[in-house]
Amino acid sequence: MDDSAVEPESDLVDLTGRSLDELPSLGDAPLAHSIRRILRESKDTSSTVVSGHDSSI
Amino acid sequence: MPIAEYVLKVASRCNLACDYCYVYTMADQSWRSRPVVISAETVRAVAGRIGEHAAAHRQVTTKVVLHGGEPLLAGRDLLDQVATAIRRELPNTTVLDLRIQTNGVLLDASFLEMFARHGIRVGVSLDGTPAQHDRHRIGPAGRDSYTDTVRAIRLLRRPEHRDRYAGLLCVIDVEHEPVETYEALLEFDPPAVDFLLPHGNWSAPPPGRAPGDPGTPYADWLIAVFDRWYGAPRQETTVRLFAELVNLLLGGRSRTEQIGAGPVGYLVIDTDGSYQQDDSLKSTRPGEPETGMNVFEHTVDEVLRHPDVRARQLGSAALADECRRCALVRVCGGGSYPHRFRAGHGFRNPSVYCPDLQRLIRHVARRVRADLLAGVAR
Repeated sequence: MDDSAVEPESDLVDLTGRSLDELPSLGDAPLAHSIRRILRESKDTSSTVVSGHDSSI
Repeated sequence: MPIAEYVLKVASRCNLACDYCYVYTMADQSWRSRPVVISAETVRAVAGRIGEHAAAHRQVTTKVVLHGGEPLLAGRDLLDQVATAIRRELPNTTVLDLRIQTNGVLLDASFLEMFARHGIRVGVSLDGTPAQHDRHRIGPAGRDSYTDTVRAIRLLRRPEHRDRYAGLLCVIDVEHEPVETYEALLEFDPPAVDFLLPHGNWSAPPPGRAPGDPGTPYADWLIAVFDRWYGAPRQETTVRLFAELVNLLLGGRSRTEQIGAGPVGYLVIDTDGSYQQDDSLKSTRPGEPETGMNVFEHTVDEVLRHPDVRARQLGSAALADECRRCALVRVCGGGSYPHRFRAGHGFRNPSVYCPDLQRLIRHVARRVRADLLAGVAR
């Protein structure tokens, strides 16, 4: 993992000090997809996230 | 912040007459004076500007959404030229993510074969069940459009075209039963769906939403769908709004303008080559999207210096004071920019959907928090 990677932090969701990668697998549920995504994105410091156009998918 | 996504209007007219469309039925009527389809000369200039910007900023990816009106009205040959020109002008090191957003009525195998050559992925607008869809998405002479749209989706789902299928876009009608709407979309096994709040603002409120009323009809609707989506044992599809909401709650950033306070990274280019900051601003007042700049005379970097474009990249700093004080601001981001408009007061206002956004965010946060804490405790 890149040393400069940003540790994912919670905002309204209080994880009581636990990091997301300590969580057990949630299988294939939507939350599991979200956790995998945020872990992936937090390790990729090269990508810039910007807001995209809504009226297209 | 460089522009990572372009919404390119290749046709200014449509073969449907949807009653909520922000291009034709709201404040700005500039479509009447635009070229019906983009010209070859404009295509060359657009492609040159997109390539120039990608090269200057060494962009890894550039996304271009072919949009309208109805973009298929531009015809297969012209769309082929657009895709070829953009690819030709981009540096070899830049990946082109090319999409088209269509009502599907004209989609056929010949379009899809050309889309496959260019790697173009297709988003289709579908509003739910036949009755729900045809209530708003009206064809010529009042004809229904559901049958034609579904024919296109079925074509996309065939194995030979499946890679082209990007997802379904649905505009919310709170009079429709929410889970029925969602499940009507799921029938078509979409890779992704999104639910859009109908455009409106403090001066021209959306249906069922009286400004200042604490009622939350849109949150109530979305929460029913969220619970159905989130409670499924396996993810049946990605619902963009919900996925971005959960990502924000976990400390991430949003890729959609509907929520989150991230910088806006897209630009709209109309059929005449004019740069617009956001086509959905047509819902606010005449001329609001315009920058006064165009692809023939201005680079994309010059557009980035336009004060209105810069304001969209300021994030929380551009929000109303009460939004900046709100505990939910990092997740909400003030909502969609056009929904903040109030005649005489501009855009430094909370969203006209503020009570709905607050209720939806708190509901999603409660569900996610409960699951995460239960997971930590196990």
